[in-house]
Amino acid sequence: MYYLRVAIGVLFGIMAFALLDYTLPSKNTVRISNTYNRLTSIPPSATIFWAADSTGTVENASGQRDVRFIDTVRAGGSVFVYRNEDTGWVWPPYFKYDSSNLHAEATNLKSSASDPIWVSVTGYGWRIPWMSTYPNAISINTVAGPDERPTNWPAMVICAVMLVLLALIWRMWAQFQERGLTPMRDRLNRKAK
Amino acid sequence: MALIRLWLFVLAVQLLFYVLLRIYVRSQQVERLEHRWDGRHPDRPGDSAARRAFIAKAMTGFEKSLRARLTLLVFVLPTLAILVIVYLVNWH
Repeated sequence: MYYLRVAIGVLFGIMAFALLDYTLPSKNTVRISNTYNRLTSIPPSATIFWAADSTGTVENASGQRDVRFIDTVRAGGSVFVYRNEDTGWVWPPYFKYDSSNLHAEATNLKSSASDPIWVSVTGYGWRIPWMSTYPNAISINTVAGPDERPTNWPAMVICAVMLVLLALIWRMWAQFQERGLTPMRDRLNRKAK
Repeated sequence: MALIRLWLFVLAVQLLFYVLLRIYVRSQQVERLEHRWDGRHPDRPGDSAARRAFIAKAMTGFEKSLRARLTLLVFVLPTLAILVIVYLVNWH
């Protein structure tokens, strides 16, 4: 029983971490090498890694979606591909609906290896090649060089707010236990005697 | 449609949290008053009819106090946060 509880606890911790890792914004300093859109078929197993249908995405008769992509190169030379989709008013709560503008910005900042323009792309999500999942780009800012890593303030603020909320909920539960549950249990015990 | 769904969801969460927070703040105030009574009457601490009457009297008007009214921020802050995120993501 004890080991089962530990296992469930560890599993819950991993899932909470994975959820945060997926949804919180992260920043990458990269060079944009290409921007394009491509008809993409989204397998049912990976739909949660793509924009929800109700954000206004359009699919053709064979279930393919026209998705904008941003190809980037990192300072080390490895490549990284972002998708650029609206999240609309659905999960995750980025409320993004300026994909077209972001794509125009990305195209404007396109640069070659010989004359690079370094940008910091904020996005959320995971790149899992064998499942065809791409992180969603949220915003693009120019930076001075490939070594510059802007502080990820948004993720820190969100984490801080969530910690405060967690502390408040914990306090509320403790108060309820002290003032609601314990006296009730005492009354029941007294009645039972 | 998605906007209405979001609004309904946020409203439901806010209402739930408002009720819970209200209960919490009330309960804390009652506890504070109990301690105050016990401090004033060291000879007869603990639950009694007199203490209950004192607390009932002190709790009248609690709904209008600043502390109770601040719980209404539950309906303001999340909406404000959503507006800030919309601004930062789309216009910044």
